[in-house]
Amino acid sequence: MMDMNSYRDGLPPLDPKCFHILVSVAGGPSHGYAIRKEVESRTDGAVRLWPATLYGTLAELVEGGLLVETPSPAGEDDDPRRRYYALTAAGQRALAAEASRLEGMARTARRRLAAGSSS
Amino acid sequence: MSGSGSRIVRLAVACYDRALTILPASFLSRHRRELRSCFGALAREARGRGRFAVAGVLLRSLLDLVLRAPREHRIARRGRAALRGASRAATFGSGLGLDLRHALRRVRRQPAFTATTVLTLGLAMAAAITVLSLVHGVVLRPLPYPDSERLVVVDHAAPGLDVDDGLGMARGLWAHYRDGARTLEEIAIYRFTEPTWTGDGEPVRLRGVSTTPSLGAVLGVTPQLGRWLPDEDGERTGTGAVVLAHGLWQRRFGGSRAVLGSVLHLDGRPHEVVGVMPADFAFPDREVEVWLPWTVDTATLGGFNSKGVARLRAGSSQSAAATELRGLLPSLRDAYPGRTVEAYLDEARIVPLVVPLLERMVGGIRRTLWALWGAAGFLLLVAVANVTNLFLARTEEGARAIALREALGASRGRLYRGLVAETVLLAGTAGALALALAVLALRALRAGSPVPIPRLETVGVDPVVVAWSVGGGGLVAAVLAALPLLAGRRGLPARLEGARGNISTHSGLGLRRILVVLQMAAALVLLVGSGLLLRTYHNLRAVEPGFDTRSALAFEIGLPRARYPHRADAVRFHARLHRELATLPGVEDAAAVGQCLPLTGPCWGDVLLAEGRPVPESTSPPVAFFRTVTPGYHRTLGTPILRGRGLRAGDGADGGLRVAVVSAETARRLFPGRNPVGGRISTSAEGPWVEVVGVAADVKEDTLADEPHLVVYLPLTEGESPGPPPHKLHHVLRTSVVPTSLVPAVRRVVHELDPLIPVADLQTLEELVAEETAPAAFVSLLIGLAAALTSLLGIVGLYAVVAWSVSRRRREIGVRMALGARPGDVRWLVLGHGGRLVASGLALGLLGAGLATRVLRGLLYGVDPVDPVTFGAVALVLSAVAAAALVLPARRAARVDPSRVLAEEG
Repeated sequence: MMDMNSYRDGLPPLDPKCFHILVSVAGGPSHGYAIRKEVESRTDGAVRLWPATLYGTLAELVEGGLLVETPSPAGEDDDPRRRYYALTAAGQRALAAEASRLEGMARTARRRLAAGSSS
Repeated sequence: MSGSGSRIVRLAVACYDRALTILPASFLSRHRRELRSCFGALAREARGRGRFAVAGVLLRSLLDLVLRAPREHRIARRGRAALRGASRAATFGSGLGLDLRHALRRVRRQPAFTATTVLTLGLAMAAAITVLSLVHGVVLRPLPYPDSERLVVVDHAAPGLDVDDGLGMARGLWAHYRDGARTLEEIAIYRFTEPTWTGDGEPVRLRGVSTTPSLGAVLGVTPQLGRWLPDEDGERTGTGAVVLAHGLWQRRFGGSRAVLGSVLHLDGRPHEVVGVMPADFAFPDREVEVWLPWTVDTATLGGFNSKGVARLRAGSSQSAAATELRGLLPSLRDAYPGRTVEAYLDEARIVPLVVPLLERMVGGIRRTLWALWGAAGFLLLVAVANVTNLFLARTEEGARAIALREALGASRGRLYRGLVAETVLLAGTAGALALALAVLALRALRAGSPVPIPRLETVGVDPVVVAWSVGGGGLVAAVLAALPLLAGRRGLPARLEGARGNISTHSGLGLRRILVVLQMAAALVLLVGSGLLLRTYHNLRAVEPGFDTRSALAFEIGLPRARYPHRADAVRFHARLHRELATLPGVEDAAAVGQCLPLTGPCWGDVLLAEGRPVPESTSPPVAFFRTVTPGYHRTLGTPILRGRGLRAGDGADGGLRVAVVSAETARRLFPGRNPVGGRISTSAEGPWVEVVGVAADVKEDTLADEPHLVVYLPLTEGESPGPPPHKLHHVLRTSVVPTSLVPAVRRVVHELDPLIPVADLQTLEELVAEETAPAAFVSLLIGLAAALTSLLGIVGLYAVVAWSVSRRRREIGVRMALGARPGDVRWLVLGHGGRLVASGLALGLLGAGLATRVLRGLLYGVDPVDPVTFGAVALVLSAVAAAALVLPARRAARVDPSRVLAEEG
């Protein structure tokens, strides 16, 4: 089970699938299939979430308190049985922490690349 | 495209949905719908890219599913652990799982109760499943032929000869019925034959059937390989046809297709293999290895030496066919004018019989199976009664606990579910045990039944029977489970008080008493049945077969007509063999007999007349069996010669029939009140007449239970003699050593005389007699086992009820003793209480046995179905055992200490 405190400290790193799901939901409540579509198009098809992994991960994130199930946004949904997921405060913190961690790593990488090319 | 495309999507979704079940149920219950709809969306999306894309999505999703499933299971387990102890709204399903786990714990806590219940129910259910499978597989299951209910045996009775059935068919009748009967679609006749197969290695005697090729159309079965017998036998080409049984084909030809077209030498004549029958084809029985075409000569009527089988035309009834065949008989005179037809119609007065084939096949064993079924039914009833009793006893203990839990707020449904779970667990275990035992029992029976049971080889544990057993078991479980709740219909406070309540407030005792009475009655019925069968067995064992069974070996030698065309050739061969055998070391005496040995069925028969004793006009002459024997036959078999002398060397040496020995019954019937020696007999009023030189003791011809028959012993001669030619003879050796030790020597002697002749049917005379007593031994053993088990259960049930009632009545007994009753009085009180149960059970049982043993009538020999000695002895033994079972609780009751009981009460 995931412990949200570990995300705050940036350790251990968030699983890439979880990261992509959280990024997707950060844009507003969404349902499973839409999340998959969004992740797929955003990563140019590099990350594809197949159904069992998708719903398994969503369930874990809900259980870990990073996501919460919400009623479907009025007027938008065609299928009332669909579950919508929204980011919780803990989820926002975890996502922010992961983003900082990735940013830090990206900064390090760029610095080293720059140092290498100048030498 | 879109039609087939959407079908592919539907197929893929169904496939994915099926695969989803590898995920934990807790996860599925929340997400299955989403998983399916998500996959459906992916598949529909892929549809536009073609069916391979859909398949690709399916494969990818399945792979994802398989990779993900272990993680979900780990999570689900962790989740359960986290939830343990927390309150949760239980669905019925998981509640039942919980009930089962509780039940398992309860069952484990009481090993004695569990073992008793499971063993009692398991053994009884095993007996029931075995016997019901036999009844269903042998008696009720249709024969494996298309429209088998239209298959009938065409047989004849001959009231004029006192023959009720089994006369069979004559070849002329076959042609006559075939051409005349509208109710029959097709008719065939066949007879058994035992061709000797010579080829590579030892000559082998095969068991075969010669049949009109119409048999194929009658039964409507197609060969597995090749074709059925052709309508025309290869008389012209010189090569006959033969169809092989599946077993022979597998055994001797390794199941090779190349067997078709190969040539077998049967009785010295080439036969081409034209077909192989499927494994389940076993007509007329499983023993048959080859079917040969029988080209019937219909120019003459022929003798009654074949069997008939026919297929009724659709819509025709068996009685209509019988009526039609009877109507065809008068026209037989025009078809076959002459003396023979007159003898059949006027003297024998033949009557056609049309009997369903299935009934004819299983008729003999049906009575035995139903008797066993009755025994198994009783055993099952008593077992269920006993288990009910056990449950009732526990109910008393359980009722208070249930009342307590109910008072604490548990729902009745919830309590009932718990009880059901426990009973289901016990009944399920018992059922599994029963199924395993039944499978073993049937396998043992198939491996070697002491009783010839038709179709046994195809009998297995029957799914229908198992379904019934499971259904019945479930019902019993539900009822047993309901008992504590029923017992607890009284008000809650009364039940909470219940464990201390006295006898008068207790419900269930009445039912327990009734059950014990029924158990005693059932035990008595079965004991009487097994007693009667045991006496039958002993009576049969005590029957004098008319010959000495000790130290004697018998076997059969048949000579092929092709190489031994004349009577004289055969007689000379047998005479030489006889001489050689007599000189073997260890052989005291040797003899041979034509047709058949004693106890192997009625042989060749004909009417028999005594000179000077005309048969009255209104009656028909008696029929006698004829046996051709070598000199010294009676001495070798140990059959006493009562008057005159036995046949000796020189009798019939000139080729003519001059003398005969007759059986004692023949002497009584044909020569009443005078000495038959010197009298003359014949098969015809015109002679030739043969002089009676001796009277031999009666011998059991067909079965041990037989009435004595008329038998005429004639010397084996090279000249004409009544009966079939002497090509097949039974040789009998009286030995001074263990009979079977002579088998190699016998084979060697026969091989030296003619290497192409097989030695068949080797057996000792003791084995011959044992075959006769085996069915009675087998049935009495089985019913005896059932009776022993039932009695044991009945006695245990009796003991349990009385002991339990004593423990319940301790207070009452204590009060009585405090008021001055002596221990002896108390003992008698208990004995009287149990004695009344026993007496009622015995009375009911005797009544039931009087009715039930009628079923056994056909199985008994030398004892009446209501034999007072058996009834009395069984009742006496059962009451003695019952009394012994009552002594213990009676003594315990007498030892009750009033001061302690009353102190507990205070």
